[in-house]
Amino acid sequence: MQNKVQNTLSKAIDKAILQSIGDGLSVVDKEGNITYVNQAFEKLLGWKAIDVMGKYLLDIVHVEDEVGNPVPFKERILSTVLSGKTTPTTATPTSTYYFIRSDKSRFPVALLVTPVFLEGKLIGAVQLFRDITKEKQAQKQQTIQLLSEVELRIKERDFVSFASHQLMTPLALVGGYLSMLISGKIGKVDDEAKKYLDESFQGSQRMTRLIESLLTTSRLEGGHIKIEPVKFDLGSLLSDTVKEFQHMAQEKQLMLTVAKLEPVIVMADINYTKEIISNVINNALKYTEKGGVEVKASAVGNSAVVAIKDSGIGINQKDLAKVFDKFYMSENFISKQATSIGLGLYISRLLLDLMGGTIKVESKVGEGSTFTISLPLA
Amino acid sequence: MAKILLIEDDLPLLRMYEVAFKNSGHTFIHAVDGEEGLKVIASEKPDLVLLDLVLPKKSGFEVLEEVKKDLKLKATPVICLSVLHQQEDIEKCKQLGADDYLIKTESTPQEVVSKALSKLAGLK
Repeated sequence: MQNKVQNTLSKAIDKAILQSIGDGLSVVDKEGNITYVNQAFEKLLGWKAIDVMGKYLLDIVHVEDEVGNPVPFKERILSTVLSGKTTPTTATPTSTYYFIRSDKSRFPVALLVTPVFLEGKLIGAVQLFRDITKEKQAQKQQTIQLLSEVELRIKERDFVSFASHQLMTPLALVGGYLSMLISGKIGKVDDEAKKYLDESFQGSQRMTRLIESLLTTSRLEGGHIKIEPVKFDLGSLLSDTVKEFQHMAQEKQLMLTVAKLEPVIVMADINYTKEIISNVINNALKYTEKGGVEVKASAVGNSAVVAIKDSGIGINQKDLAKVFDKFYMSENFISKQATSIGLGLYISRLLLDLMGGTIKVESKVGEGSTFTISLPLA
Repeated sequence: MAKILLIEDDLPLLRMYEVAFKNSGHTFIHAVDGEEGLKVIASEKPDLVLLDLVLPKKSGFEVLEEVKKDLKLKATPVICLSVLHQQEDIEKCKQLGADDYLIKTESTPQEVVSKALSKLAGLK
């Protein structure tokens, strides 16, 4: 008698537990006919337990995919689980399922179907589902946000391209007329005026460089620079580049030498490599007042290594880590003249990152600096 | 005497190049947008085209593409003349068949003139 009471009590507790589960729950026999549904099932799907008991679950709960195509019975998780083809664990659909309510409206679900075994034999399955409308909405919101961020970036890029184009056009006009005036071809200019025109022309050239750096930085940061790696001889690129700087070196009475080079074949974007090398040589000459700049290249392991060594002012120990940062400028330099905005080495670092290379610096104040650039060998 | 066409929408720049070409001994004509440029190329048959790239109505890239696709026009040398200095713009023009690419802020007007003249001399 007491056993029977306990038994009844235990059943009532089990039922109360099942009923209070917040997720929709249905139990089917091995044929797929409903033997139990909880309150959440009734509430979420709009069916009364009494109306669905003993009915084929797949008939009662229709399922659609994301775009509204009905999922055929045999593809439903429940069918797979009841067929015994899956290993006896829990199965979930690979894409989002939508359950159809009794009023034909639909909602996305997270679905779990678990086979039920008794003494090793499959006797049915338990299907548990949760309404994930809110999660889906949040996901959608996130996607929209991501899309608008992408749009914003494109707009930013377009803005920077547009702005730099608009800034460069009048600059081409200013520089163009100045160069013609300096040449004396469009009117007479006396020597003193020519001196000032020269200065103005240098100014317009400098402004062009600055706008170019800003545009390149913006494109690099936005991920809009395309690297086109090709095989080429770094040695001859160095010789050619050094030649272009001989004039600048001579003006400052500095020695600019390139060590006798063996061919070093690298795999990199040739234009950007030249830009980086030019930038470092240009800096080296700019910050050196006596002695000179020495360029050499060698192959070390899997990398080609270019060392550009100067006998210039050097960099403070505390600044060494910062020289490749955006807008970094040497204090000595700022006091001299504002011809830079501290983007050259930053751009070089970003470009080398893209090409699988590195740039490092060693320096001692008063003795000079050595910039070491490495690039992957071909 | 050769006929040189400049397609350029910025009027002050247009006048500047006109000044630069004044004593070159050649006829200098112009158009101010891509569509007009194509019309002038077809009607005037210039010996050389200097082509800006950012243009109203039809971009310089489109003009270049159309000229180089046209069997009757494709032999006309086209020098792109733009402030765009990105490698990809330069590559794009070369692929479309540009005969040269000059950056307005890098080449002085006189350099533009001498490039154009040496290109013309090379044709003879």
